[in-house]
Amino acid sequence: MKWAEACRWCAGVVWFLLAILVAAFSGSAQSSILEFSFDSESLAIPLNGAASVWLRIDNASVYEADAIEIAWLDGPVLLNPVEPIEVLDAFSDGSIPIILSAGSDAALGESEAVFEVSYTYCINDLCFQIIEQMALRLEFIPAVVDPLDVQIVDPVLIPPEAEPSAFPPLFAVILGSCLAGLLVVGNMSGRRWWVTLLLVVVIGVGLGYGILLKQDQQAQSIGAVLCTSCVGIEETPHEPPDLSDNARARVQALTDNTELLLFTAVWCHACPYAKAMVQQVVAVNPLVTVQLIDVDESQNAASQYGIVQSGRTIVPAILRVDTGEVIFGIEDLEARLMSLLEGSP
Amino acid sequence: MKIARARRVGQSLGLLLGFFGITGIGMTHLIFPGLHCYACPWAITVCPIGLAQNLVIFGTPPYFWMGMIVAYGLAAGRGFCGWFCPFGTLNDLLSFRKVKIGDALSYSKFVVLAGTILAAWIFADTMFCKLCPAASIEASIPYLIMGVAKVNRPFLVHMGTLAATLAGMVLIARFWCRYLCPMGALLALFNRVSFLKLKLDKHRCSGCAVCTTVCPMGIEPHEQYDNHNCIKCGRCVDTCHLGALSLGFGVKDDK
Repeated sequence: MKWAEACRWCAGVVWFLLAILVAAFSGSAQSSILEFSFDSESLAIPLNGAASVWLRIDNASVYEADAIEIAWLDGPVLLNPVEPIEVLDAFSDGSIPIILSAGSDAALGESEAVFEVSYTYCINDLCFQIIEQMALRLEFIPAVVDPLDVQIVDPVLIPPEAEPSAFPPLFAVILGSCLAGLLVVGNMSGRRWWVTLLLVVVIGVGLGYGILLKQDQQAQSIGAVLCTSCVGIEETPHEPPDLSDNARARVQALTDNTELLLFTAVWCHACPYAKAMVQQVVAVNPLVTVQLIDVDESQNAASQYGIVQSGRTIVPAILRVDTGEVIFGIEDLEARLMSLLEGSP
Repeated sequence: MKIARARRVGQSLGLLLGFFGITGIGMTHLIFPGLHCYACPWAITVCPIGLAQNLVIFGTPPYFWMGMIVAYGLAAGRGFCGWFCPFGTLNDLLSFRKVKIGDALSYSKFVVLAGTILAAWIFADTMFCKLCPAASIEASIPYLIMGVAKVNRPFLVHMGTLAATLAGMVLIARFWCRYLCPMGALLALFNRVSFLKLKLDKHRCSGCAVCTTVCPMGIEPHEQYDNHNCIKCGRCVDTCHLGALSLGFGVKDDK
């Protein structure tokens, strides 16, 4: 065998290894942090009883979320103790069973309860605690004769819906291996009708299954957002920011309410740095508030506020709402953030 | 010269697709059949290499990506390098010295491809993009002009790789395409099975090797007409007075 032929074999093997390597990771094609939903829109609770509902949690991000807890915030209900979820892996989902009893101030008819969900997520060494609020509609129904008759769905035995099937990495491995084998054969023997046919099958299966999994949308959303550190416009920071004393004093001296919007993407490496710095500013002066916007989730908001430049949403971006001024990226962020905050509306 | 003219049309279409975002159309779901940065302010297609790295980082099995790449590979193999890729067109413009340098070296692009994927896996970051000379031209410089980027270390790294690549292109025709392009490596895997093929009629070939002198990829078309490095540009076809070489689409089996 000529050495060139051998090299072609090697090229096929490289391809094979790449296919295995990539297929070894399994996951689905989504990109946001945690998504919460109750498994029913409204919950009927007898005035003298209790009822249960599932809080579904979908981790569509590339990082695991830790210590997911739910607490009662408002509404005429009592929340039975809830077991927190310690770790929710990337691209996985979980459910927390919630048992609610009618509170002493409950009255017949519709009402609403508000809960606070908190969790921690880390990107590399930077960790953040995220707190979100969730509302659940309630309907208090007349008391049942015997409270013991109230049916409480056993939270352990009956999950709200079947767990979505795990990604079949095996399928990807088989497909990748077949392709690698085909290419080796193709490179050795040239074009044969059955090689062509099988490659057409690979195209059909790849595109069909990929589009079914919305991987084309994933590709679009990756292309549509420019993360400044990803393509080498800025450095990727590895240390959390530390607001200087001078900056703290300047933030404390602010006397006007200032609302900031921080545009981020889950997979953006520079975003946690920007987020941490803004959170430090907010902690120093409560007059400054910040709202986080995931651009993968809210592309409309990004274009509405001018975060989109030439069709590309740039993250991280910090917008001051009253002036409409925007700063992109994290280079020299403290100084630029100060001038953004101190500018007059 | 017919092929040369048709190829200019193809390359112009590649540039048009590459920078069609200037019309404000925004990003589409398509993957570009060449090396073209998706961070470019006017890109409407996703860079196959940038996307591959992101898929490795996300741990997404690349079904859609694979379907698109195989489709491009089966259609034309490295024909996209010669006929469509905007960065290939830049290589073309600087193809002054069509020298032949060891065939073995051209396999280095497979190492670049494997390294790109491995680096994305190990560092969970798009490391290749930070060095990619196509991104230097299509993203770094435009964003500097737009005021989003600044002259900082990553920018200088980009300019360094761009300068080195441009110097390489001037010294060796299609330097990037020959030795370093990971997309070229991907398409090269399909070069022998693709529909667009360079063909040789051995009965007509006198072995004069005039085709070798014009080949920008430094291969010997009269001997290696199905080389993995052939970008099917057709220069050799235009040069061959005996009509031994031809370029065309075909689905029939090789004999």
